[in-house]
Amino acid sequence: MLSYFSNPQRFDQLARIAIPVCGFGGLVLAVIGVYISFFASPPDYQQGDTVRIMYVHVPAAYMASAIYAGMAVASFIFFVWRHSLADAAADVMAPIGAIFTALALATGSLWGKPMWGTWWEWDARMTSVLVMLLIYLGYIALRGAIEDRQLAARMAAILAMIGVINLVIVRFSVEWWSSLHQPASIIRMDGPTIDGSQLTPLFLMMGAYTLLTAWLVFYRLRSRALVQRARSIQSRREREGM
Amino acid sequence: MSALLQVFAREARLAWAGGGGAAGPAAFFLACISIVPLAVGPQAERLVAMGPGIAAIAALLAVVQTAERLFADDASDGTLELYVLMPVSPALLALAKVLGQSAATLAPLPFIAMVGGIMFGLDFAQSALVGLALFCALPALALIAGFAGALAAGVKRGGLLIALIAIPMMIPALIFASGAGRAALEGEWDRAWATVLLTLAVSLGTMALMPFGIAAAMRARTG
Amino acid sequence: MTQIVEVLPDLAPFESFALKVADLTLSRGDLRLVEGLNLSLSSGDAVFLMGANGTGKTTFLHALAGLVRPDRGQIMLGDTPLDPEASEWIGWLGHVDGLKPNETVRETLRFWAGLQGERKPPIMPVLKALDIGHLIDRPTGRLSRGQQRRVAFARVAVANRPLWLLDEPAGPLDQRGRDRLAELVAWHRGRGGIVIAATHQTLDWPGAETLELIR
Repeated sequence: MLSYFSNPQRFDQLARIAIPVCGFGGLVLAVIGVYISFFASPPDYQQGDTVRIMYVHVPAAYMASAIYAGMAVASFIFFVWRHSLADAAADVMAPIGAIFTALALATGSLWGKPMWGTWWEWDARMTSVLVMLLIYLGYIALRGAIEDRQLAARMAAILAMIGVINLVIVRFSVEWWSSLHQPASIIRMDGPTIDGSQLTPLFLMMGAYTLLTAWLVFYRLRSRALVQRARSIQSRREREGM
Repeated sequence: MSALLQVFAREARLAWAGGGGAAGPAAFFLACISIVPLAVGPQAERLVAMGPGIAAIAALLAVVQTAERLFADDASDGTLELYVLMPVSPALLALAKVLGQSAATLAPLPFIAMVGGIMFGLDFAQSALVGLALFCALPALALIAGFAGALAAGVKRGGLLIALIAIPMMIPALIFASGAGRAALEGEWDRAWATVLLTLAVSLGTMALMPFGIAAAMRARTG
Repeated sequence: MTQIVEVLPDLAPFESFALKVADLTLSRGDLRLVEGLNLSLSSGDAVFLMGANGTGKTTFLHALAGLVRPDRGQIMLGDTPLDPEASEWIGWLGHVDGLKPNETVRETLRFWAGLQGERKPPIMPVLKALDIGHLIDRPTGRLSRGQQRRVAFARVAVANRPLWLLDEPAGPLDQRGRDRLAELVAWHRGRGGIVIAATHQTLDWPGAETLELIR
């Protein structure tokens, strides 16, 4: 299936369908999700209206991890089979992932103020998300700094793959670190503490984020492929013109 | 095996002769420790509490400083190409190379950390534990620095980039190394020893994994 | 010439072997450099790789060394396809010398030969054959460019490898240096080795063929 889509023409066909489907689907889900999140769902019996931040925050945190996972898989595919499309996908995903990570941090902080009384709490979850942001930034910086694009692609792929293992170890060590001085998080966002009425908007928002990300990735990949094609046509013309 | 010892010895010798050896990182480490009381104030309680953490941070920064020259010269003068072509496992070669250079440049850091601990008001046993925990963390720190250096070798003024890549990866070693010292400060010696062992585990894990990343970066560069 | 034969050690000849390149296609990034190249060499052969800058001479050498994966085609050493293990076969001279300025000539050569499993490399005879025997204990940073190139070449010659891949071996050498190089190449071919050299100008190697790479 991978080699199937590594053919540029087939990818183009796929992208032509995927771009409107993901874009439109994401938009619809986002509109419904935002409406339910902010107007059509009950306030939490403890947190009141501030719980609505969760509908923006949790999907963003989920996307931050999911995009990193996608980036790592794409990097692996590029590293082993040298599909340049996989490399382009990893490249395109990195800034989107970084933005979701930043969004997760910002909304987490906004949520923390009413809940914990501080803008920033050094708890395990927030801290590992912060580390993930740093890893995203390192990846983007490495790609930007190496001039030889082929070399940049390979080095970035190696970093993304090693980064997965690293994220796991960081997560573990940060949990250990924070468990020394405080009990587990005050608010648990998973498990039975979530009410059914909150799950609907949460899943709608997650779906919206996922589809909109897919839309962005396909869109940017396709425009990249088009730019590349235009360039190669141009250079061929120049060569023939000489 | 003897090939790896040769690589280790040569890299240590080169780092000592050409790179100024241990003087640079040691001086840097000392400078980092020295400015802390000047910035946060001389109150004894505060300094004692911060001692183990400051030692770990200063060590991390000193190691990051050495990262740039781990691979930059080798990448530009053709040594990397030769290394990759040697009939030796590239991962083991990367391990021997990074540890060899680090042995030459980082060896004094645990001792300076001990001295720093005493200057910050820790007692002798606590300072010794801080130095020991740092010693256990150094292989992990050095290999992560080597990995970042191998990725960014050849980038002009790559120091900042290397720091950005390496520092997040060094967090586990930092947490456990300073955690051991803090446990000793609180008088919980059992936990302190256990944490030293955790630090060692992080280093061993990094030694098992990171050489493959470094070797992949070395190969990607020559290909 | 006769002097060299006296100086260089009389090492056992290599087992006769063949290097076959079939339909080799190489690219760098999106740029195709070499397409459908065929080449067949056997013990004692020498080839100049020639061509303008950017035609893929160095990339071709890298592919022969197993450093670059070809897009298509095969490189066979003897009966087996080339793989990274082929480093047992290859003596490599890159376009930069790979010397450390603080290491002496002797330390350099001994280290690299040792890494390739040579316990008693013929360091002095090879250095003498290259006219730099008297520099053996000098740090390589204090040698001239031409002398450094000779040391780098000596590193190939002291390791007992049958296939020499040389990238611009004669670059900074004067005429005398080139003669010495040619004599060592002749010695190597006499033992049944193969030499492939990417170069800008033909060197005086009797019986060497030329492979011209074009864009």
